[in-house]
Amino acid sequence: MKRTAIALALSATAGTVVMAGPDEVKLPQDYQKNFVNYLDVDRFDRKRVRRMYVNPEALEAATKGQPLPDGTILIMEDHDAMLGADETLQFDDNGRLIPQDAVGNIFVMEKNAAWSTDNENWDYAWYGADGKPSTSEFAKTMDGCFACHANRTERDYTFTFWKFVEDQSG
Amino acid sequence: MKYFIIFALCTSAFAGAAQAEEFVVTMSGADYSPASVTASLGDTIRFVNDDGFDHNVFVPTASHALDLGKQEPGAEATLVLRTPGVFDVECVFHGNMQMKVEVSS
Repeated sequence: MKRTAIALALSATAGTVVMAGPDEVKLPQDYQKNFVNYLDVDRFDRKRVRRMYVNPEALEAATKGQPLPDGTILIMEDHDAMLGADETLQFDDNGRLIPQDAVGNIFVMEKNAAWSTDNENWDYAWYGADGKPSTSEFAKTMDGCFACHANRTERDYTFTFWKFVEDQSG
Repeated sequence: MKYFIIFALCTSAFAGAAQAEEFVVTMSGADYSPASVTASLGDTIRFVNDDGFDHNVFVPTASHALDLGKQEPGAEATLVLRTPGVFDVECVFHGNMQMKVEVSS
């Protein structure tokens, strides 16, 4: 269980104790409209395109060279790739896979200072296209997400976001 | 004369197809070798996991980003270079395992 420690945080305004822990990572409403789609990853082995989003506040902070702030949310959205009649992958004029409109799985990672997990303040969740939490065995612990993202501690547990910011800044 | 023209056309067509080059990158010791590849559009890179651990080919660079999936020991994966530019390759499982690819049009 990766979400072992439940952190306690004192609310500065009300003085109440806020407990954070499992299942706290929500799917933000209207993220496709309000977040920034900063990268698309062609997942050849699964014939999918993974669309990456970040909340604008986090992008602004990172662009200024600041650490990712409390409340940072990164979303990875699956789209099946366009296939030809012979089931082969189709490419656009730039040599990229062409995502279908329909959304498949939605994975969310959120940074919250009130949480303490194996990956510091990050926790993960998996939602279906209907916006409901996945009921799969994987989703019960999200151990796979914790383990894989732990390979990028130097980028604050992100695979693509800090690389994107670094590349943009030249 | 007619046969000569046909032969010349065939030769030209095969010459065009033969221009695509294949590069081989190995992964033993958790290192991509070679650590950089300079290629042309249409060339391919065949990634060979000749190591004893799982590796993969993950590109986080914008406009080139892709993932070829996990490669168990002995597995191979081929990337067709369809987009010109420079991009970085990383192993998802081993952050220090990196290489660079430059694709000219």
